[in-house]
Amino acid sequence: MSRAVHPLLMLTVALVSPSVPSRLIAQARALTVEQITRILQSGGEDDFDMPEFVAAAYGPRAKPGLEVILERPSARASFFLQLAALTAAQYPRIGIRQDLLLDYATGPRLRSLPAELREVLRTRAIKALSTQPDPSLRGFWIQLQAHPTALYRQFAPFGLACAVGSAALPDIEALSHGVDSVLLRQANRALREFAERGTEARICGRVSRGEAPEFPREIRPGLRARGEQFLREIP
Amino acid sequence: MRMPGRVLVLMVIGTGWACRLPPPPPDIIYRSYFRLVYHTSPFNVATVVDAQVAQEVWWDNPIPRYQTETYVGSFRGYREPCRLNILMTANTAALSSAAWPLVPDSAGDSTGFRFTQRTFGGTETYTTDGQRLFDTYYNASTPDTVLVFQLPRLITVDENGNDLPRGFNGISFDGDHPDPYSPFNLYVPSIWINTRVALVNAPRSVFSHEIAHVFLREPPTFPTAWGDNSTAFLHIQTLVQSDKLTWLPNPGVMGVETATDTNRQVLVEADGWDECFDAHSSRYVRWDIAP
Repeated sequence: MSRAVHPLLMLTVALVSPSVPSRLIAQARALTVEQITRILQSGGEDDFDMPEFVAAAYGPRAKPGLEVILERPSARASFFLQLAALTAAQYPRIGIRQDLLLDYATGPRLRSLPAELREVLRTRAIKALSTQPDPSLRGFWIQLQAHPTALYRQFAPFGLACAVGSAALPDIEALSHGVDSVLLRQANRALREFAERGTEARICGRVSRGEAPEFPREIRPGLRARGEQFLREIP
Repeated sequence: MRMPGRVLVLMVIGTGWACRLPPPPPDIIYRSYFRLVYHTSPFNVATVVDAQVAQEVWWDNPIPRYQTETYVGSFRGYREPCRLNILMTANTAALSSAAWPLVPDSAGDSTGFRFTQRTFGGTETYTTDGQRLFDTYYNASTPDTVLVFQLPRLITVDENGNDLPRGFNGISFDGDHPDPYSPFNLYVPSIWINTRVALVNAPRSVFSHEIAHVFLREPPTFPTAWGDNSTAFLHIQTLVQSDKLTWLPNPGVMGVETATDTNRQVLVEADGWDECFDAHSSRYVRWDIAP
């Protein structure tokens, strides 16, 4: 498997060297908001596939456009697009700003939305944070364990596991002996994953802590056909 | 009054010609059957599955036509209505919270039903709860009756076992492949309504919208509008109470509030009649001779 070249490095090389093919320059270019919108909207309402396609095919090139989408005020009209952007944010490879995700995950920016939609976006943002192998999130997950809402609290064991890895085991074991049935269920699940797979435990969504920063490295065969048109248009 | 001889001759010839014509074809009635399976949770709202609106969309409303030369889309009158009968069977099934418990939402109310789950491979599949629900109400002797499950909230369980409330209004499974909208080929045929979200986004038209997914072959057969893979036909037909389309009274121009240029073009160029023809050929539509 070839190692990905950092897009900024590619862009720099492309700009200083007139002999670099234009295709390379195109590949280093960030996707526009319009391009990202079109790709995400082609998937349908609350689709998981096209956000994954964006992460696999374009990775960090999608970051600026996705952040613009997420920075806009949340409203009914933008609900499906922001939902898709938050679904894409569960791939740390893209590199969506953590403070932006925390803004959604903690709720205040969603006040203008009806409760039914607010809950969907907030949960999706917490899911996105739960796939980030970033120890600085430990405090967030510890705090979330005490959240009165089970729907949000449930993410704490895996979020903690992904954030700090096996160093989270004592905390997760403590949760597995607690009285909170939601935390207990998810803590036991995380412990089982650690026990069965060790350092390869799939605790950051679908992959291990080590794999998370570069996941997904390639486009799943099932997604390729759906994204082919975009790959041609936006190399 | 005396009839001129020439007219009399023409009448005789005309009568003879008419006698040689085959009898007119019988009127065909297109019927589609749905059965509602409704959770009795207090957070479910009965009016979201609106069979009356679906009947208006698929039977009563004539299909608008637009000029195709420009994006502007001047209204050019109507075609015939689609004449597809939407029949909700009378034996609505009621799901109790005792037999079909729901997952608490952010307000602590039990609203969510775990109907799909994500796999580590990145795909979506059934849950045991979802399959048990479908199997309980699917009747193999009426395979063209589409089950309509109405639950306050639909939940997808993520690969790590967390509950993710879904953001769509509804979803349909009709067994058509390739169908990018359906994550898998189970629960066929069925429509699942995500009541609490649908109440916000599409309180009247979500059922008729999902019917379109069941009846119509989607891209590349028909162009779609907006991002939800909906056929242009349905958006044209569900003008009333829709966020997306409004009629501007005179001179009969279609106004689109939030559509992009691409969507507007698709809508203007779409010929709903082809899609009606397609719907009539659906495996979920029965043909009967009119009495």
